[in-house]
Amino acid sequence: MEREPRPSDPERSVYWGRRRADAVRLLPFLGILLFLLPLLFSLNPGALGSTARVGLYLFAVWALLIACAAWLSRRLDGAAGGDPTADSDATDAVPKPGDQR
Amino acid sequence: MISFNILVLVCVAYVAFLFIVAFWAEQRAGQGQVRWLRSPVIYTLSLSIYCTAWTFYGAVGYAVRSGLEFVTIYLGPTLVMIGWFLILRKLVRIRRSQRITSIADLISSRYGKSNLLGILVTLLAVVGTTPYIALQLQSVTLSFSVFASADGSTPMVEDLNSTALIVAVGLALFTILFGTRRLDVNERHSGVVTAIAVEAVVKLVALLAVGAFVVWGVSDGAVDMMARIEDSKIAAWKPDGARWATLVFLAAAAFLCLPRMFQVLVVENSDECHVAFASWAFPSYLFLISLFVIPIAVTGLQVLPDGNPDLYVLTVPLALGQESLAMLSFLGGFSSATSMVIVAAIALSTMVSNHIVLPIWLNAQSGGASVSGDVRNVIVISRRISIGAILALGYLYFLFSGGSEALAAIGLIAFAGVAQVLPALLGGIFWRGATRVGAALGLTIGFVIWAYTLFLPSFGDSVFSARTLSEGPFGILWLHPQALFGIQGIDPVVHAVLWSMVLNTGAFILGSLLSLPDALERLQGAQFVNVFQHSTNRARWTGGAPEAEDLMIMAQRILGPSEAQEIFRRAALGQGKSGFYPDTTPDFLEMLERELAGSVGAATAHAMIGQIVGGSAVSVQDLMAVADETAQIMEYSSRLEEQSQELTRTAGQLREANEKLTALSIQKDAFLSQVSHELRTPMTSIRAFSEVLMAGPLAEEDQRKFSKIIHDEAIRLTRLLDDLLDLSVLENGQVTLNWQEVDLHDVLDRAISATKSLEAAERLTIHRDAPSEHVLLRTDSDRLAQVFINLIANAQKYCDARAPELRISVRLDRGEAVVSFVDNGRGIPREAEALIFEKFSRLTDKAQAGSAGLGLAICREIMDKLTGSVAYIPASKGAEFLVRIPMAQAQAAE
Repeated sequence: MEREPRPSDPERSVYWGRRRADAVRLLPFLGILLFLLPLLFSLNPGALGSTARVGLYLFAVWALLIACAAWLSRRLDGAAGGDPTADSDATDAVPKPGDQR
Repeated sequence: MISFNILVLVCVAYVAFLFIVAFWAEQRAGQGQVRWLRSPVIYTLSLSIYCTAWTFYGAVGYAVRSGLEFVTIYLGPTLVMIGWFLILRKLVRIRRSQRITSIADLISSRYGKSNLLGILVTLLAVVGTTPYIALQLQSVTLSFSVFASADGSTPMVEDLNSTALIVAVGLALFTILFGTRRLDVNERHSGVVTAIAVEAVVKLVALLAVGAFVVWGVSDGAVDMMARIEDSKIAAWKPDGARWATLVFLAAAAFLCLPRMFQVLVVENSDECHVAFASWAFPSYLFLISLFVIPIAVTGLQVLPDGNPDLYVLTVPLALGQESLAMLSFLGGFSSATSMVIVAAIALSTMVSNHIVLPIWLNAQSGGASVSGDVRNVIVISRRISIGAILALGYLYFLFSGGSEALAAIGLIAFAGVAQVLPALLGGIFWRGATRVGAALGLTIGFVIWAYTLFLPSFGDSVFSARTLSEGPFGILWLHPQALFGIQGIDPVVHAVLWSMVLNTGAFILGSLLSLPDALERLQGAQFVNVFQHSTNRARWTGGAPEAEDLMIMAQRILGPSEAQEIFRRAALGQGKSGFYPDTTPDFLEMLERELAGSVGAATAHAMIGQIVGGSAVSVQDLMAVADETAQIMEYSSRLEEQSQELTRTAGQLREANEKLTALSIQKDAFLSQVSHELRTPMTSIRAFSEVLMAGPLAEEDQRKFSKIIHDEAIRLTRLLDDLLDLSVLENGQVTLNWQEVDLHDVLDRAISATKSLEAAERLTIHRDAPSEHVLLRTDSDRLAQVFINLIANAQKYCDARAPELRISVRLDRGEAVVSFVDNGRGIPREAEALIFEKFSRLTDKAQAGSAGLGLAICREIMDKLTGSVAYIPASKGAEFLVRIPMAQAQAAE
């Protein structure tokens, strides 16, 4: 878990921490969209995809999602990983890892 | 060609190696050296049991038959892991705060600790997992047979069956040994987890090696590989959209709901940060596993077009002369099969013993499980028997099933079965309105539909007749197992998943909306859904030396350092360890809790230990017990405080009384010395003059004079003694007063006539105002007269005007008659005002005849007893004495 260097403006780091948490929440939906995209091929039975190319697409998307998840998780852990304050925007306190209430 | 025997040798050596690894891991964990187990890498690798032999061998077969569709099985879990923040994180937090031990435990606990739900989920899991275990046994035996046939000898069915039996028995042994030797409070099995991690590495390496060989050894690199794919049988991709989406969903659902996955994903998790790490690391693993599947499939199609595609991973290297690679591949397949079976057996045995055996046993016990040792024995035994039974079931299924075709399809059928738990699971952790009734309804309906549409038809003709399978039971098309409601043409798996999930979820929601949960259910609902508000993310490893340290710190604070260390050292010695930190076994924790309970109360001790060991939130019952004890303690301490305040007051009062007594004692001494002085003076005179009289004849004149002096002195002495007695009687309150109603005028007359006989009386002129003196008084007339006499006599004695006058006047004031005696003498000097009412105080040195200095003291006592007062008022001329006497009631009312 890496910690951010002391921010000059604490509120900004809190804001970005929350946006990162939002990004982590939204990533799987992006993944669903991307992985289900090949379904579009079935709507047009005439257009046959090639295993090689669709396979390439799938693995590329897969690698992209993994990279995004890796980057987001690393940053998330340091700031607000598993922290309830990241769950809601109700409080403006700077979240500390493992802090509660 | 590899000899079959060498293969067996290698296999046995590998197994031995796994045993050693597991054993070593448990030893290290027992000593608290768990740093490597804390690593998120181990956690991620343990998740790899998702990739069973069905992956290792079957993925290639799947790819050969259906192209890219195989990848959906791995896309689903990828999505779940990437979305860890939404679902997994909550599951892990719930597990820690509620001490969940299995998926059946989660469901049962969430819905009010319902035994029914626990049993339902357990049965569903057993039904779904048994065929899967059979599939693993099948894979192992098939891989053995590949080498046996390559060896030249055709394996006999009996040989294959006995191989499967040996494998099953070996797996049972391993699982019993490392899964049930010690009952861990948190259901963690460090030995198993480590062995699984090793196997995960082996299978990844094996698959990657075969893949690399295929791409760079057989083909000429990636571009060439792509070209070969384009030329192969599976070049064209014919997607089935519904099936694609359904399979991704199914794989995701199974990833969460499979008991073995729940075990490694949630139960064995020790730190939420590991989940964040695994969220990208495990999809990477899946990515690598899947990467070379199509290349291997395509190469297999080219090299062995008529072979069993399920075994291309083995047969391709063998056919191309890569024997060591084939051996590695064999070990990879073996690892993938065995790791799944081990964890599945542990997970299932936990559920069976906790939700089926234990309740039955507890019910059968009339006295209840009073001795916890009893319960632990039952649990351990039942787990061991369950493990054996589950593996036996799997073996039997393997024996009686058909060929490989039937088994291969089982994978998806099993997934669809366990996915029926999903609505109850997700509803339970996100929706407080989910109730037990809803969950039970949903589970039952889902299970029934799944069994009817997917499970039973898979047995072919043996269960459903051919007619049923083509036209529906009794010809009712709407109930056709694979075309419910008459909607035909849907792929069976999609059809089953669609209807079972839709009806399951619908029944769950409807049931929850229409039923009322009981109090425990509501409480559990709040605790589960709002778990982030009730718990913290403490990234702490639970179990081992760090935990023992925390316990030591806490124990030192409560019991004191020396006693705490003594207890811990004794416990460590009892466990055969040196040093201060014993293992945090249940026995030790129990003992520690007892020791602490002696100081802080049982409930508090239990809560404190539970916090440290399990990291769990304190239950409401615990809290109530703690509050109870606290209330008692507070009551006791407030009583103590009251008592101590009382004691302080009493001590103060004692001090005051002591001071008063001391003062009185001093007064008494002063009084005695004065009295003795007063008595001695007349006595001296009497003695002196009697000696003179005794000495010799005297003139008659002198005789008479001396006798008179003696007489006078004797009278004075007598008067003094009388006064003393009077005063003492007055002060002690022993005086009997004669309360009457008298006229003030009469009392004054008496007093004045009494003083007329005294010496110097004729010199004093008394002025009276007779009419005003007629006041009715309530008093003792004798005593009042005594006071008046005293005052008048004082005026006679001490008024030093040339023509002494005494004016007596009376007025009324608030129910009292105020009599004023004013003379025209010098008055009393200011500094003597306070002294005149004291005993033995005289203002002149010469002892006036008959005066002992007690007169005014006696007046004051008398007036005090008559509820009046006498006071000296400095007048402009002379001395004024004011006497207040209460009037008679009738008079006062006027």
